[in-house]
Amino acid sequence: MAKLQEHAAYLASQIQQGVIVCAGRTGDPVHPHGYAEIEVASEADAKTFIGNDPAVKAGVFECTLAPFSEVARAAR
Amino acid sequence: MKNSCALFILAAAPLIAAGTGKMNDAERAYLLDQLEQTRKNVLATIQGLSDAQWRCQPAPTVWSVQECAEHIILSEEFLFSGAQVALKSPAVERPANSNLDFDRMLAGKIQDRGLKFTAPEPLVPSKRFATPADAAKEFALRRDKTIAYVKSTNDDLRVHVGDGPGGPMDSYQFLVLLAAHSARHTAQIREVESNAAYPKPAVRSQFLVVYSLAHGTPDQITPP
Repeated sequence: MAKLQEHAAYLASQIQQGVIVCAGRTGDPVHPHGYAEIEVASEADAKTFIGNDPAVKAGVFECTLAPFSEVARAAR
Repeated sequence: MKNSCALFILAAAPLIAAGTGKMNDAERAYLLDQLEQTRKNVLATIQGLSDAQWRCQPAPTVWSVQECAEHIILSEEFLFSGAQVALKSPAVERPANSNLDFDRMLAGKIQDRGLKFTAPEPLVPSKRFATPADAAKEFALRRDKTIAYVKSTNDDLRVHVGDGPGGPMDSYQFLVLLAAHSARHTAQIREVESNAAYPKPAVRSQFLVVYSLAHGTPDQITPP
């Protein structure tokens, strides 16, 4: 539980630093997934972003990484 | 100094009686809107800047984004304290200029980048925030404190007057000044960012990170 709180704090800090564009998770109670759209200079930086996540470091989460192109965004 | 005297000359007009000293609903809504909008704009202008962008000083006499942001942050506490100090002064009859029309004019004048002011010594930046994230965190902390106060206060902000930068202002107007001042220097940051010497933004790539549980199920890591 502590690692999840650290994970949340880490995501909040990355939002503030302009790395995370948006993030969320599915509502599946058995096999939930989290998603984060990030903007960084390189794939190496993306891997660093993942590697610095306290919950990933602790082995709570595992991650996959893929290049992404945002094609639409609703104006809010 | 000449400009600031001109700016506040109306505030020195004779006082008149005008009802309660508390903010009315329209005044509270206006102030909260100003505080929220300028909060958003300050954070948007500094978010994600590179170190080179953060520290870029286009000319020796021009503040960097780092210095502008620090000045905004220092002013948050300074102007909020100004409002609180004014509140401790004896109540007066509500000043004639304690109204929204004057407040809007005041905010407009403060944001006029054509008018130049000299920062008082306590508000002169010293590059104490090493990164935009450090500054954003500190700014959000201080601004959120101000917003929380404005949302809930029943203080008689309109009938306590203190010495503003160019003349007497009621406590409410110190908070209008606080919001407008941050807008003024957000505009200054945008001027820096549009300078030819300002480093161009690095090309950034987007990635999607997908998280899944490495082991077990959610109830094993989340309390029931």
